[in-house]
Amino acid sequence: MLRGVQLDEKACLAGAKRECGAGIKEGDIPVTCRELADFIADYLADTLPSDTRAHFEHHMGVCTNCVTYLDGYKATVELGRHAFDNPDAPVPDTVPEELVKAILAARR
Amino acid sequence: MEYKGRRQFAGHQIRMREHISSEPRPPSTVDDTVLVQGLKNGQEWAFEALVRVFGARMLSTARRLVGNEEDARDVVQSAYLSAFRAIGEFQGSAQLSTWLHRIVVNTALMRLRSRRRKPEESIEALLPVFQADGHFVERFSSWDVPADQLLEQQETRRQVRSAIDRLPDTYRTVLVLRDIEELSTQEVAEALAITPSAVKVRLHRARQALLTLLRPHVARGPTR
Repeated sequence: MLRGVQLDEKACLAGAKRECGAGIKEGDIPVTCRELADFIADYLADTLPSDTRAHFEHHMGVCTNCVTYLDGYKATVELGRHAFDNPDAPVPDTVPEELVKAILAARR
Repeated sequence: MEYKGRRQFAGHQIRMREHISSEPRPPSTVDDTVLVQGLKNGQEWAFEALVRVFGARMLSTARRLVGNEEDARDVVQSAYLSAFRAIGEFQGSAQLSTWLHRIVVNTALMRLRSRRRKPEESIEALLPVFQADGHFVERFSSWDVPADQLLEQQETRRQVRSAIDRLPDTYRTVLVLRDIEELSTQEVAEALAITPSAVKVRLHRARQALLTLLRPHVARGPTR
């Protein structure tokens, strides 16, 4: 794993001018790690313009750190979505009886 | 506006509970139309049905938004009373549960605004940091276990809920409404009186911050 990280860092840092986009001129590969991070939500929502999406995916092809970050981001969204689920509950939640009574009493 | 909150109690078939006993005795199932008519006619069984059938879901939504049980119950009670008063204006363009859910969300947001007395913490410390050349400062580690397996663990779900609670209200609210309640960007923008772009920015930052908070629990080894 460490070896992989080092290789990736080498590709992404030393090779930034070609591969990662960081610090390069406009018109080359415009997606840096920072820009990629900004685009993630739109990428996942499939709302990126096609050229930006292509650059995004190109970056993902050469930067494993961003791949790992994106994977973590997607997993986080999934965890957040289901954090309040309770598959262990034997019966569906019911509203507390005292709350039912309080609401109906307040209406009268 | 089409409103697509999650778990809309689908159906127009609403199962009535055995213990709803007020007269006239309700049928075992009722659709929105019958329930709305009962509410508009001031029939007690209809009010009770509205609370019993949708109350748990509304309470869950309120808990997620206001963060504590006492405030959540106050919000639900207040929202139901608002709904009872406004039922005459219900046109049926949305499902009854959707309409009620919107009232609960708005009531909860009002509660959040009213109790926000001090400036909330900045989210900046929970966002990723970049080098001058645009690279992440941090070297990220893969997660030990896939999200779907993590979600099977009650402890993990508790940790995630706790992490969500730690987000600043401004961001937590958007995350809850978009990712958990599954409102659209436009619906959240209208509920919060902000632009859709602001909703997107807040949601993205909230997710990034949540990732930062969860990483120590789920990622392999040191990450910085």
